[in-house]
Amino acid sequence: MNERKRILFVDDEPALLAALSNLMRRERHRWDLVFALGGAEALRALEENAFDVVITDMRMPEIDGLAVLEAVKARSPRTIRIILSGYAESSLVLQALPLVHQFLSKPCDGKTLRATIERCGAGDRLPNDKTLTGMIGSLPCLPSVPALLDQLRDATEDPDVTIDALIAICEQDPALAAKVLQIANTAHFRGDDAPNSSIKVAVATLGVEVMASLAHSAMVTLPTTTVCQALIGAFQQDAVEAAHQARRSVTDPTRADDAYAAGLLHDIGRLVLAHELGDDYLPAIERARLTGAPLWECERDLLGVTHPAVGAHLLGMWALPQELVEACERHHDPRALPTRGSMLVTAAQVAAR
Amino acid sequence: MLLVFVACLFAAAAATLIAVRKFGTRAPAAPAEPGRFQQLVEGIDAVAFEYAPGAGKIRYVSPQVHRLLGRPDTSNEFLGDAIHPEDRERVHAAVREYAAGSTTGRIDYRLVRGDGDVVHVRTLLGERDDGVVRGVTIDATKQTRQEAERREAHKLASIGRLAAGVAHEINTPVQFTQDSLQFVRESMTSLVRVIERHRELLARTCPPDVAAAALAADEEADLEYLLANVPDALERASDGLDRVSNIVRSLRQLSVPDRVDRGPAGRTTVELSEALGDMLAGARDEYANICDIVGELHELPRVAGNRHELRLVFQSLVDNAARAIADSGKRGAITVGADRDGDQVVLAFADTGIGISPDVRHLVFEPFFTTRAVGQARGQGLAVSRAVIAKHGGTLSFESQVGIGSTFTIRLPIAATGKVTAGLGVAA
Repeated sequence: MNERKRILFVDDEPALLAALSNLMRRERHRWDLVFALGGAEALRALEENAFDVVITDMRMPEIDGLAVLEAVKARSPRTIRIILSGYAESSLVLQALPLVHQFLSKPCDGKTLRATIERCGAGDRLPNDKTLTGMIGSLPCLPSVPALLDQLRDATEDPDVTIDALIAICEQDPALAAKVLQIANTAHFRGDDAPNSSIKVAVATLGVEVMASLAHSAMVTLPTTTVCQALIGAFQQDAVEAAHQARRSVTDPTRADDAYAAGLLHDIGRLVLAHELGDDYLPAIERARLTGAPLWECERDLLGVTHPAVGAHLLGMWALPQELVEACERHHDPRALPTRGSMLVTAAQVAAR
Repeated sequence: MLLVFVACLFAAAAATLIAVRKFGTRAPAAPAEPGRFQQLVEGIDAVAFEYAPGAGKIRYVSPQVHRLLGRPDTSNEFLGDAIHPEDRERVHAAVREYAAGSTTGRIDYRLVRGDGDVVHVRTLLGERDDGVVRGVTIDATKQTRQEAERREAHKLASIGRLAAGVAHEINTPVQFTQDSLQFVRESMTSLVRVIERHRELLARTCPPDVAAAALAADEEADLEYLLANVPDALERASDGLDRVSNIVRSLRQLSVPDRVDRGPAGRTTVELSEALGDMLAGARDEYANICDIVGELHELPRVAGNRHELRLVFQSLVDNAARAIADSGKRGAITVGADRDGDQVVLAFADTGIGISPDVRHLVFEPFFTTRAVGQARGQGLAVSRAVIAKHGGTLSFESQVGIGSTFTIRLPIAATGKVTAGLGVAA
């Protein structure tokens, strides 16, 4: 992986592009930066080149940020799509999110901007397979357990619902939990607070109204095939069990909720593979069951990818807290123990046993 | 729209009553058998009256007047001394003009009850003949309050919209100014390194006259001063921009969100004693030289809300109190009290500071109103606090006496029991 990262910045304010190009100048040895003044110029740039990351303003005359990102998604689904916006209503953020991987708000300091781009390590974890990264990049969400999604919809329609009831539902469903953590960690909802790994805090940050819009939006979905549905049902039970184990494994009570999330999400790659591969995922599962070999080894041998890498790629793309991404990526990696491993990696390893 | 409806309703009621009164005058000798109309008049939730403005005499007033005034109206004060002194002149003028043919038959004013409380009333004047005016008076306290609240919410909503627009317009220039400053700061570090290197090389390799000329050029440009001060200047500029973006951000807080856009005000159950206790502990240290902070805060009920936002409100009330005490020049005390009133929890922040002068009391909750010198306050504290409390379904009000102190009171609805999972709080 010594390819240079290619990044496209789009804004209708020339001064902003000039300032950014000054600021990013010192990264010239590792990043190729292209600056497009407005949507039309961005579309031309997209025709000429593929990018690893596109960062665009939202409100622009004629071709706005969402139209730019539509084009990016159609042309190169693996590209990470980021909005850098002056101000947006919550409803607008929700409307944009199925198309957007990450949301930054202006003013966004140079450090954050660089760190964000740094973290967009497309292809670092996965073999250089554009189909797979493209497929993960196109996912607006993962399938939920149908009964839990129904529960969430009913609950948000109840005028007397409390946030606690919504938290209880989201803590059961890995797909919902991942989505809620993604949205709550956008600049719009998180503001200046530190990254948040707790599902409780995430749901409370969004509030009942946003949860209600979410429950009826394109950011939740159901399994499309019966095979997928069966896999998801089994996976969900494992995930909740693992989450409880992870919670029990930490001694610091203030990290218990974070550990729970690490446990619930550590195998989210299995959900991605079940959703995308359906029947084609079965041989790997079957081989693991028959031979007793670890699932990830069977995945590696039969599919060429492993669920920890796939899951971590998705969570990284969605800009979940780095510690959750790591917990997902390294839960089968014995070298991650305890020297450099964060508490959540350890929790996820306990959960994976 | 509701008000128009209410007004129509009462205009209709007034018309009915006038008919009733006519009936009454025509058949005055029927007290033994109070007619249906009289029952109707005396059964509605309003005071019907007949008044002769010329003579200043009330000719008839229905018995509901006792309830409205909170005492028997023995001396016929209803349209006289019971009117709030500030409104009396205006009401009498309006009634006189109406009797003389004016078309404005609606008067809003205040009455002072027996217990000293003030009620807002609305009088709707109906039929007039022979210098006599008939009408009804209703208790409009609730409507007046609701109307004020609606106006307030409306105002905040439009400020919120304005803030959103301003935020969008300001944040882009802030972004590129910030980025440019950052670039210059980073470049300065490199430039300083280069200059130092060049000086070194000059000193080592140049003929003395060239080195002296270079030194003279340095002095000409005041290079030492620049190197010492430019980084600070850039730091200052950057801090200034941070302040600008903080103001824009807190301005956005003013908007009371509607249903579709509740924004970040997520709700969970908040342990008040814990949220307050934490904050007070910090404040005690911070203001140790100014005042004592006392509070009885155990066993507080839980409320539904956003812990982070509520904490900021508590903090800003304590900050204001401490400043009011500091301004008084004497050491003082802040007393934080908590009480339960029905399904509400009442938190009072009382200080022994300078108090709020009566001529600015109505401005206290205006955004950007401040009594501080320019640059010493951001000025949106109480306006934002009130908006946050309103978002939580509560109210924020105050009482103040100059030279004695102010008390700010928060009322918040208590989280319904049974719907609350015990012990669930959001970490800040």
